[in-house]
Amino acid sequence: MSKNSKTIKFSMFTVNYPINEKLTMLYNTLTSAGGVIETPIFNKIKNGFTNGVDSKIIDTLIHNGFIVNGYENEVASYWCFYQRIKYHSVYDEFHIAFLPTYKCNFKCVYCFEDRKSLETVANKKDEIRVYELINWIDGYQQKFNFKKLGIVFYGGEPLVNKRKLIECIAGIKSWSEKKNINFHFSVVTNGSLLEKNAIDFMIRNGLKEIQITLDGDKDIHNQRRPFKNGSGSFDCIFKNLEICINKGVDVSLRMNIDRHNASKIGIFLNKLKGMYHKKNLRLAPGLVDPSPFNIIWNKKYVPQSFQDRIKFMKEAKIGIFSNIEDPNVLLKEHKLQFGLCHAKIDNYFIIGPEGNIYTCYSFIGYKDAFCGNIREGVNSKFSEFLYSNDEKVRKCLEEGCPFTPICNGGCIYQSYLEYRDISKRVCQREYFQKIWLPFRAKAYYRIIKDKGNAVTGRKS
Amino acid sequence: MVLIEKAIINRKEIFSSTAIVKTGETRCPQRAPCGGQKECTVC
Repeated sequence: MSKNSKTIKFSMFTVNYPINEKLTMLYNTLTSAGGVIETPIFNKIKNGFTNGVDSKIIDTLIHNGFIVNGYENEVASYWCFYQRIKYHSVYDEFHIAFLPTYKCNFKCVYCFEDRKSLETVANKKDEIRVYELINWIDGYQQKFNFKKLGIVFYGGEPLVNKRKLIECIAGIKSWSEKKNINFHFSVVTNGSLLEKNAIDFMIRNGLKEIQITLDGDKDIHNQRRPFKNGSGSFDCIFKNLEICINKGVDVSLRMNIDRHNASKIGIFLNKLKGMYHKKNLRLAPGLVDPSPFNIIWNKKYVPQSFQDRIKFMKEAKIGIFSNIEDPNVLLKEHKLQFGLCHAKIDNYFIIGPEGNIYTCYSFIGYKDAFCGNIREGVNSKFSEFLYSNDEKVRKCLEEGCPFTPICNGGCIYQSYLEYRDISKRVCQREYFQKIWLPFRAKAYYRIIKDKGNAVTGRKS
Repeated sequence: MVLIEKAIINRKEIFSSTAIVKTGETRCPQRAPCGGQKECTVC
């Protein structure tokens, strides 16, 4: 390739951030490649000149998607890629979530699920049987011929109905072996009911990852996530977390953050130091969502509007950033990469204990988001969810937003919270530009400083 | 230049209509096990 202004350009998805006068951080939101380049070289290429730039640098930039062919219509390329993932993922892997129960043994102060009405909705007699679920999956397998099946077990607390969970895993495992299908699953659990036998059973039968939640140090966590009888759950969860990690299970450690615990998360992270360097533990802090239901805790501690949430996110990130010394851990925690949430993918379902279908976890139990039942099939609401996102992505691309691949039109639930209308877009560009990018740039700088890398262009 | 994170998505896969969509790499920006945005706000 001849390297001049006519043949290459920075990708519309390459974002940059000045680390200091000499160095600029680059990140491509589509390929997830990131690095640090000398600012004069960056400026030279940005202005269309490549003469005198080390060819290794140009090759690295091309290979990782930072720069692309000058004639490439990236909007068109991206749109086709997005549509292909949206409609073709099911040919690779059928991915669903199943809730063995809506019941939970916890009484979390901020719980966003309308548990009372959910628990009355799912009468025992209405619950779907495991064979019904398998027959339904089998129907999709015959249609799409997928070779992988991924299931997330969720709730309520999925282990409250351990019998159903185990029956499900065993039944689906047996079906998948007959069909020669690669079956794997994850469990989103509060972590309190993870006995050794249950963990061993899951490991033997395709467990990929467990998500466990700790909201901070013992005192803080116990105030927020007590058992139903009011007693603290921290010790029990922490013990089970250690068992999972020592058994080599991949664990995503979720921390739900709001104004109540944000300032203390850093102290907790310091105490976890010895643990989060382990390869099979990933930190997953996230904000508690506002809820349309009248939850007193949420009104007091959870920022309600999107703008308030952006401001709060910055405070929370500072707390996390200043307490994690290893920048590689920070990068893992701070990772955002291209990906379509299941609510935006065709043939991706969340199934309640009674077989009701939803496309988004946050909407479980909402009449407005009821997308059908596995006994009767999906309804038009399912199409409405898929359609609503296309319109948003189109607008993002028309505006040339470089963050489109890590946002893809934003969170559908956030649109509902802000406007009570899933078709309206809640733009996250300000957050990505002003908070996410500078934090990532700081982490990159720490890495190159720690390694003592001279940014010479020879090392790429 | 120092490359800190290598590309996860190969650009050839972006253009090729015959490329197999690997769901595991194209699911959820935060890589959450739920595959979605459970309780997420900004991702």
